[in-house]
Amino acid sequence: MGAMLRIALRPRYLGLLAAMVVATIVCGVLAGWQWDRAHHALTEKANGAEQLGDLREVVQPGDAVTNAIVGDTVTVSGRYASGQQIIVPGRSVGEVEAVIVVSDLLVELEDGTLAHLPVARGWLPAEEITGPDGALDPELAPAPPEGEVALSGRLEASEAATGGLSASVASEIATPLLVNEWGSPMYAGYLALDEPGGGLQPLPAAESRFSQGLDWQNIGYSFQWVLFGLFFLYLWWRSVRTARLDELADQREAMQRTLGDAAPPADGSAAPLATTPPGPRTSTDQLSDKDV
Amino acid sequence: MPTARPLDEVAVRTSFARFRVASIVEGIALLVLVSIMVMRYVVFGGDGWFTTTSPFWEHVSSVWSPIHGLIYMVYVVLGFDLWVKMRWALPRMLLLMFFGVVPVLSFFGERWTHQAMEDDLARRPTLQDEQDPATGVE
Repeated sequence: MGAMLRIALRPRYLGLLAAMVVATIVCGVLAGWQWDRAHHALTEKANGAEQLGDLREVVQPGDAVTNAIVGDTVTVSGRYASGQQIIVPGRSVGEVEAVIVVSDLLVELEDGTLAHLPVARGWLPAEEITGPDGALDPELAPAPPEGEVALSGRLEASEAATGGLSASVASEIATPLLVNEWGSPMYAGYLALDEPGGGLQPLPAAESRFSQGLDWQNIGYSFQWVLFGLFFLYLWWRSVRTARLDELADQREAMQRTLGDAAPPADGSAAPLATTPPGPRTSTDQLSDKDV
Repeated sequence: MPTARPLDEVAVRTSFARFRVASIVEGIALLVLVSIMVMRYVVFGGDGWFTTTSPFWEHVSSVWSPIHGLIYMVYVVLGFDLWVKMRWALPRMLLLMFFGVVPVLSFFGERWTHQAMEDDLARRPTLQDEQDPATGVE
């Protein structure tokens, strides 16, 4: 142990240690960052959905619906564009196979332009809009009310599009798909109505890793950074240990050389081997080949 | 500087074979990651730095990033295994880790590491030399 310490205290190894400590501190900072991120969601959403007021004050068309505002309640008024409605099948709410009805709300912006806001008006059981032929019929979904409406609902981020949109049926509420169908400008998220009418049920809150509170992925990253930091220290210790073992072997070799010089060459190969302590094998044969 | 502790050439070469595969896999995985980042932040980039307008590429990136992270960790572990068996100095381990984080570099790093390994195997005693003392150098 003393010998290890002596090697560790050499300038070269002290310098390396300093570098490794810096690396470990950097990893520690990154671990803390991920730790904070994991808990950010908790503190942020702990007091439930916030009432953010008018949508036009909260987010502009095209702007990202960030984690900070997702799930919060906004109000908006406008009128539904007639005929611009899609259904999103393949969801399950509880045990029921659900179909979400999404309509196009035209929101008048300050400069007078009409922006499209996808409104998930609610869901209904798939069987209710299954036609006689057994296929889903978008025409059977209840049409949105006409005229000016004032709505209140949860602001949700757009879902990632994996499928396409054809014949008013889409697999996700994805604004990149809808913008092709309904036109721009369009909000980059959608509104899930608090109180749907027309026989529709309110949508459960969209689940994202963020909305689930404590983010275990970030917790995992945090521990990975800690491991990474410790790994640098371990590397340093390994290199000190290697240096120590190499020196031990060198000393042993030097000793064998003196012994070998003293003993007659004939049995010189056998005698020192017997006194060699357990560990990496060395032999005087090798010495004569390589080192002399 | 030759040391008296012989290297285990067979173990070293086995380690290197694993490290070589890891280098190539990590190199490809990193190129994929860079492509995804370019799509996410440049091709479909938003107005600010590191913002995107594409939920699709955001999703792809959120899937691939952890996978790439895992591949890099395997790469580091296999590099460490080789480093331990070669009994190289500490800076070289950092170099091996560095090879894995610069796009394309791991392919060249693998070749450089191979050369360094061959040089050391030729220069330093190995267990296998001992089994066949007549040849001396491999």
